[in-house]
Amino acid sequence: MTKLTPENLSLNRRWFITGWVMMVALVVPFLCMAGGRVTGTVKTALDSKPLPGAHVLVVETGQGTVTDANGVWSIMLQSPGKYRVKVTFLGYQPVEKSFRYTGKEEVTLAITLQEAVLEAAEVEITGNRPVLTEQDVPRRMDLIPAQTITENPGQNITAVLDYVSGVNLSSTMGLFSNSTVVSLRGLSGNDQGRTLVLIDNMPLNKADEGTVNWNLINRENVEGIEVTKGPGSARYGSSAMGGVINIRTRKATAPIGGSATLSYGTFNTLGLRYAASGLLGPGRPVKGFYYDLNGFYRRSDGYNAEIPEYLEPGDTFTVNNFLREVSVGAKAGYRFNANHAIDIGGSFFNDKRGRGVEIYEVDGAYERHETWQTTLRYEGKERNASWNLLAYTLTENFRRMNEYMSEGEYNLYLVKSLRSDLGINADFTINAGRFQEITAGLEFKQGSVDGQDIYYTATDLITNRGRMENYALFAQDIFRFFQNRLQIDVGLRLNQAVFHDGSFTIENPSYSIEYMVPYQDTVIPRHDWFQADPKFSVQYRFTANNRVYITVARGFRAPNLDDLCRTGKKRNGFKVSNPALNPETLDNYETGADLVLFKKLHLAPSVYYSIGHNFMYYVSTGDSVNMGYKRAPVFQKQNISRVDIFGAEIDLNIEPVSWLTLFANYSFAHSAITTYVPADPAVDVDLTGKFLTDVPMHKATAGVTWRNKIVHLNVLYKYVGSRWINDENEPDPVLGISRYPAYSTFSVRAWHTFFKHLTIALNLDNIFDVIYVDDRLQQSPGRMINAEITVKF
Amino acid sequence: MKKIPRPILSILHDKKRGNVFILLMAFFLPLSFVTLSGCQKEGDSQPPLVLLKTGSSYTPDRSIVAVGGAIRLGIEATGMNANITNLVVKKIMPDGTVKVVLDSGMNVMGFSLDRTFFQSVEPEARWTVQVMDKNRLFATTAITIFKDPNSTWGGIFEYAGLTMGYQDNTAYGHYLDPATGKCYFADTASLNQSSIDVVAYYFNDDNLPSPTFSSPGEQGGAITAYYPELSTWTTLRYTKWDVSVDGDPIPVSVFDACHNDSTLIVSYDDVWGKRKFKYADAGKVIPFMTATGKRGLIKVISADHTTSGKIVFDLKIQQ
Repeated sequence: MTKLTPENLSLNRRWFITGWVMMVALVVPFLCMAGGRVTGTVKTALDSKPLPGAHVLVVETGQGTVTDANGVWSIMLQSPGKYRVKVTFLGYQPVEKSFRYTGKEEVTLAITLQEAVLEAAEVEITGNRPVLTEQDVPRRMDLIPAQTITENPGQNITAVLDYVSGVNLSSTMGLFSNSTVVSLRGLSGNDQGRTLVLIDNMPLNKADEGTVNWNLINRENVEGIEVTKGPGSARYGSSAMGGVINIRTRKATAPIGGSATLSYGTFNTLGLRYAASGLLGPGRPVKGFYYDLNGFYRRSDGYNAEIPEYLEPGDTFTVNNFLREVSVGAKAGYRFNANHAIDIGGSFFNDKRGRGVEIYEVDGAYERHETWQTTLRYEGKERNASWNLLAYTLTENFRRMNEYMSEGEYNLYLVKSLRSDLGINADFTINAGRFQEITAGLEFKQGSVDGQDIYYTATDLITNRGRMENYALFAQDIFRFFQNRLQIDVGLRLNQAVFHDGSFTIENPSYSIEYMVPYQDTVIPRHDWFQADPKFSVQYRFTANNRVYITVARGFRAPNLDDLCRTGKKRNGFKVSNPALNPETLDNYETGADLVLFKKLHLAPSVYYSIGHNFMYYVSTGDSVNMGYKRAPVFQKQNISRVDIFGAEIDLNIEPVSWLTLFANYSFAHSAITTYVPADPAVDVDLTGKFLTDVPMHKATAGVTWRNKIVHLNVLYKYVGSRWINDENEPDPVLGISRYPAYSTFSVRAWHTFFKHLTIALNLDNIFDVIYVDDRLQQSPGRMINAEITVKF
Repeated sequence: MKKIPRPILSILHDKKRGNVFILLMAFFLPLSFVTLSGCQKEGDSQPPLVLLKTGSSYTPDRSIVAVGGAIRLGIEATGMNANITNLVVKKIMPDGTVKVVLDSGMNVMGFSLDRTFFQSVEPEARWTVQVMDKNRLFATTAITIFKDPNSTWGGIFEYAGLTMGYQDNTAYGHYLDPATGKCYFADTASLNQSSIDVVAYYFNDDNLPSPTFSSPGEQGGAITAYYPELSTWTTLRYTKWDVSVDGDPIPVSVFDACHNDSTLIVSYDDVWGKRKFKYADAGKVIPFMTATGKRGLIKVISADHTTSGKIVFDLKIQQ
């Protein structure tokens, strides 16, 4: 591990400044380029008024723009040919128009848009960014529309992600889980910190442990999900190692609109969720106020998730894992004109999920989250430039009540943690001539944790605190040549982070934790680190939908505050914090293609090879402590291992007729530790050659959607291969197996819509009642049936 | 003429009424959810009450007690605003040294507990009883006990080569009366319930299966699966096993050299007294205390690792 010295720090800062200056020097010369163009106007069919803010896309080249206040647009074209331009605007039916560009004369097109009744599934636009398709970025990206989300028979948003290739879901308990992990591209399924999750570009991964509370996402309010696979740290920074999942929420598109769903099903599970939005003011939709309101409530008696092998004889304390959750959210904004809008939003989520044990306390052992989110956004555009500003806070008041019997003794203690994350993002994009689009920006992010273990059946009060700040500059340059057939993306992000104000203290230590006392520090040393993340991608499009691409990128994951400042018990020992931890990094090499065959069949294969450096694992420090009942080794997380992952994915989509859609995909991931340096071979198990835990080597999903006059049907199939249970790849002592067995499930949703506004649906999730174990040695709930009534307005 | 379906909630398509509806929703829905989620108000908190019972059954303040002699404490505690969750009894020596002798979790509004401790070798100690409630408010009371300077060490029973069978063993008994060194099978053990303090079994429901010592009074553990006949017993004596020796082992030589109860008294640490002792493998010296307060030591000579195996050991116990 590199020792940090003032010289090293100074060197890092020098690289930081030098790198930034070089990037600016690289991109400025391209700013003055210009070429031939196609221009046009967009007007409303109803009153022939200009329509500002409409999105215009040249289908063949992928170039996009937005109409100005007079409804005028302009796009540079490089070479003659036949093109199609597609114009979309929220609340209007999209229009596609063909034209021929000779290369000599400027082409002018007049386009009128008809008003439409919009449904969320049709929305394709994020803020003032141009319409993106899966082939617009030279890497593998899946766009999940609202329709796919709605038609999934699962009960959480993560169930939808489970059918995306390259995605690994660890959520045995489904909607009852409070620690769901969605990981990408062969990374361990027990660590959310290696996959970045965003909601409208706001990070949901907490600095404390990198976790994401998936339960707070209101499925009714989701407009679409972008799953970008492979490292994205050159743009998004920490955690974008396996990829980036960006959840986009609904936008106000009409004077009023929304939906509400009431559901009831297995385990006495009752749910209500709603989302509504609207536009106010005479200038709408171009100008005026807009708002969104959403919320949900759910309760369930739950089920007993304990694996029978783990039940002690005569156990009377194991109970069902109940759940109660509620959320409200609101957003209000003002659109000054087609190009400028500002909004402020906030949401509150509160849940309580039982942990399956109840002795004296009313709800027994449970976990509770109180989460507040606030956002402030400004989106602007002038001429060829656009910009986005985002300020956000994410505050989670986490409580985990532990109530259990151990060796006949009663234990009760509360883990209480205030996790605060806040940040400011600013990015600026300029279309610099016919070839180039440049995006640059800066980001500040701060994460802090103020945690306590409050014991009730002992006198102990353990406190840990820490704070980390991350400052980043990033730039991305997209070059397009040969009518956008050839696209080159170059990006670089420079991160400087500091961990400080760490502390670990114990008050009133009882006899059972006296061994921890020597490890308490009033102040844990400050630690700085620097991280540079480049990316380089090249794509060649044979046609609008056929392409090949190759990409090289680096991702990283910052050390968690929990590892930096928390000391405590761990399985088979005792762990001490390590404030000197550095980021894990992952270098990824990938190539892929998109092929459309017979006009209806879309094939998307991709292969990748990733090398992970400085992966964090526990190793012994050589010390030991007398825990009273045993002398135990002391462990510490260190950046000690190298991980190699190679994998492949193939997606197949086909729509032979308008009423039938089929998809299938297969994912392969070989994830293994290739270098591991045990500190003490007598204590540490050498993990060299061992496979990462909770990663299936093989996974396949498939589905068919059949629409007809009587009832629509969506049938989904999932196969998840076996996964290693522990780092040592040794058999679990109780289960007697080293891998969770592979399993398959079938799920079905049947629905019918009455009078366009009322939908009645029946969801049968895991229809054959397969009981499986994905992680954390808990079993799945089996078949879940629920009925839904949805009203759209 | 084709009938145009009337939209549900058509009110929402009316500009004015729709906006009013939305504003009402915006106000009432969050309000109702926040109300549902509930707000907890913390009341004024008062610490719990604790006192030591008096009377001829209990050891009074400033008593002089011989080494190994009983110290009987009667503890009464009541939570004022919250349940009592922790009871600690500790000895504070004149030099400030603290020795915890009992640290127990609970979740009750109040309790009345009679508990017998035993005088150790310290000349003087402040026996302090501390209770804590769920608001982490404390209450304490204390008495001072002196060691009888004329104390002598007591005698012990010594038994060598005792053999007990595990749950599937049919050749050796599973139940031991440590005062006599006699092992019993289930049928005869039930006739001697009031003297059975030790039960042996091979614990195979844990991460690492192991030879285990326990007692009939083990509650909620594996013993009821291995020895279902215990459910019919009327007297279930509970022996506590000091598990701290796994971290700080007692040398075999100390066990072999012990011929009075001095080593037995100082070796057993009651705060680490648990309901069973796992990993009872050859070479380990295990302190224990029976339900009647008799301290003892077991030295394991050999221990099989099958459910039909046996464990062989030497035993010393206070007379």
